[in-house]
Amino acid sequence: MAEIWGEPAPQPLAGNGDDTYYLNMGPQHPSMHGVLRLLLHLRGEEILEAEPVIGYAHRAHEKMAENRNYLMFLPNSSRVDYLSGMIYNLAYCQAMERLLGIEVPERAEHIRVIVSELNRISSHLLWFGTFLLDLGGVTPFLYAFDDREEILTILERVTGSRLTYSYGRFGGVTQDVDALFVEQTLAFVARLRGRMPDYHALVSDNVIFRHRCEGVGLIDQATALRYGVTGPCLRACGVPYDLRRAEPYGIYSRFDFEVPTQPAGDIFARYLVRLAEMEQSCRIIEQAVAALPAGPIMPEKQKKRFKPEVGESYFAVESARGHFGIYIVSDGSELPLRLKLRTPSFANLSAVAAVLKGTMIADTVAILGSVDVVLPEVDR
Amino acid sequence: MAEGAVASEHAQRLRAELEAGLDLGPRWSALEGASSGFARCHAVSVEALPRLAGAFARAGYFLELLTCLDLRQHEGRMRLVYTFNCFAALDRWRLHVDLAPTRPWSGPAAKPARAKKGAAAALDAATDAAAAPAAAPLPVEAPSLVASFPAADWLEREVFDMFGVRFAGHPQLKRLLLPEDADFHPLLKDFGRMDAVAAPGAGPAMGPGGGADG
Repeated sequence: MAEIWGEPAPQPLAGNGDDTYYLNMGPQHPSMHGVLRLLLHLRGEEILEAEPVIGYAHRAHEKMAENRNYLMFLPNSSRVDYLSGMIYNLAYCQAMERLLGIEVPERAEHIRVIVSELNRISSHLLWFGTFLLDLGGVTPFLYAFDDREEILTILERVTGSRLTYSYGRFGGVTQDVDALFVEQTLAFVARLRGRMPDYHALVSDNVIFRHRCEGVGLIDQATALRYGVTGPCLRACGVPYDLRRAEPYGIYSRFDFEVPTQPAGDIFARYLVRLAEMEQSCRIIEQAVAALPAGPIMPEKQKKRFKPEVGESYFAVESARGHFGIYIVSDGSELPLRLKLRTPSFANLSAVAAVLKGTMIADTVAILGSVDVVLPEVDR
Repeated sequence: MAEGAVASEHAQRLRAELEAGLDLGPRWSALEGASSGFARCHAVSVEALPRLAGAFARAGYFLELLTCLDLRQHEGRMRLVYTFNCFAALDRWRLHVDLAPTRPWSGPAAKPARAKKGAAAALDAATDAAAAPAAAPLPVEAPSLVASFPAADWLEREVFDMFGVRFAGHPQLKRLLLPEDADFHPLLKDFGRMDAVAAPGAGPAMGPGGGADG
C-alpha cells in the first residue's frame, strides 16, 4: 500500500527474536479476584514466567495499628480478609486476651466457635460459586449464594453486620445469642447437608469440570514447604496441617472433627478438600450448639484501658484460607509497638508464580481460582 | 502417637544441627504458654543467620514469618524477627536478629515534615543518592534467605518496602506493596503519620510502572 503512495514500506517491528511475548493480566480483570496483576511471559500459550504484582489494595493496616490503641484497631481486623472477617476479628481478640491474661466465659467460647465455623462455610461457599463462575459455570454460583445468604442473615441478626463483623471484644462477644439463633443455625446445617449431594451431582461429576481440574496446577509438598503454603491448598497435597488440630486455640480441642486431606495436589484436590471441610464445620457447629452452656458472655470485670506488659506474643488461627497469625509487640503503652499480620493468602499467592510456570495460559484462571486468594488480605 | 514421634525426630535432627557450632543465646519468651502461640525464642547474630536458615530448611521447617522492629528509640537498633515452624507438629522457633546501629532515632514523629522526609530518604540512599543528605549513614543490611526459603523473596521485599532494610543476595529487591517510585519507608517510627506522604500536587504515580503505562 505504502509503495503506491511513493513511501517506503514499513519495516516489521523488531521482536524478541525468540517468539516470546509479555501479557499483562489485571489488575482490572474479572477473574483476578480483586486487584491482582499478573505479568506473564509467554511462548504461544505456554507460560514461561509469571510474576504477580501486588499492592493495589494496600491499606496500611499495620501502620494504622501503631497510631491507635489496641481497642481502636478492632474494626480493622475484620477488614483484612473480608470473607473471613469473623475469624480474623476473633483471632485479634484472642491474641489480646493472651497478652492481657483475660479469661473468656464458657458461653462466649462456644458462641465464638459457632460463628467462626459459620463464617468459614460462608467463605467456602463464596469460593465455590466464584471459582466455578471463573470456569464458566453460572448455575453453581446462584446456588452457593443462596445458601450463603442464609448464613449472612443469621450472623446479621446477632452481630449487626453482614460482612465485616466486629462481634468480638477482649474477653467475650458483644451480644448474646438466643433460641432463634440456635434454631436457625441448626436449620442451616440441615439445609447445607441436603444441598451437598446436589453440589456433587452438579459439579464434582461434571466431565468438563474434571478435565479442567484433574492433574492441573500441581502444588506438591516440597513447594508448599518452601513457600509456607497453608490451608486447603496444603491439605490438598496430603499434609494434615490444620491449626484447629495442630495448635488448638479457644476450645477447639474439645470437638470431634476430621482434617480432610487429598493426595493429588491439583485443582480438583483443593476443590474436594474445601467441600469436605464444610461438612466438618457443620459437625463442629452441631457439637458446639449441643454443648452451649448458660452464663455470661463477657467477664464480670471489664477494663476500659488496655496496657499489656512489655513483651511479645504470637497467636495463630486457621482461617478459611490457612494459617493466620498475629504477632504483637508491646512496649507497655496503650499503643502496640508493632502489630504484624501473617496472612495465608500472602504465602499462598507467592507460591502461585512457581505453580504457573510451565502451564498453559488458559489454566491460569482455574489455578488462581483454586488457590482462593483474597487480595486485600495479601496487601493488608 | 505417630505425630509426636515425627515431631521429636524433626526436633532432634534440628537441635543437633543447631548445636553444632552455633551459639544460640536464649531470649525472653514472655507471655507464651505451651499451647497456641508457643515459640522458642532465641537471639542470634546476623552472621549465623544463613547457616541457621539452612539447618531449618534441611530439617523440613517452613518460614512462617519475617518482620522487622524499629527499636532505635528504645535500644538504638533495628531487629529482624524470623519465625520457623513445622507442619508435622508444633515446634515454632522465633529468632531475633539485631542489626548494627545505624542512623539514630530522629525524635518523635510530630516534627516538621521536612525532617521526616530527610530521615526516610537517608535510609533509601542507594536508590536515590541525590535525595540523601551529605552525612547519610550506611543502610541497614542483612543476608537474604531466598536460597533456603523461596518464601523469603516476598517477605524480604516487604521488609525492605516498609523499613528500608536491604537484603544482600536477594535476586530482585524492589518494592512489593508500595508504588515502585516511593521514596519512603512508612513503618519506620520517625516516618510520622500517614498524611506525611500526601504532598499537594506531587502525588506519586501509583502502581508499579504507573508512569510508563500512561
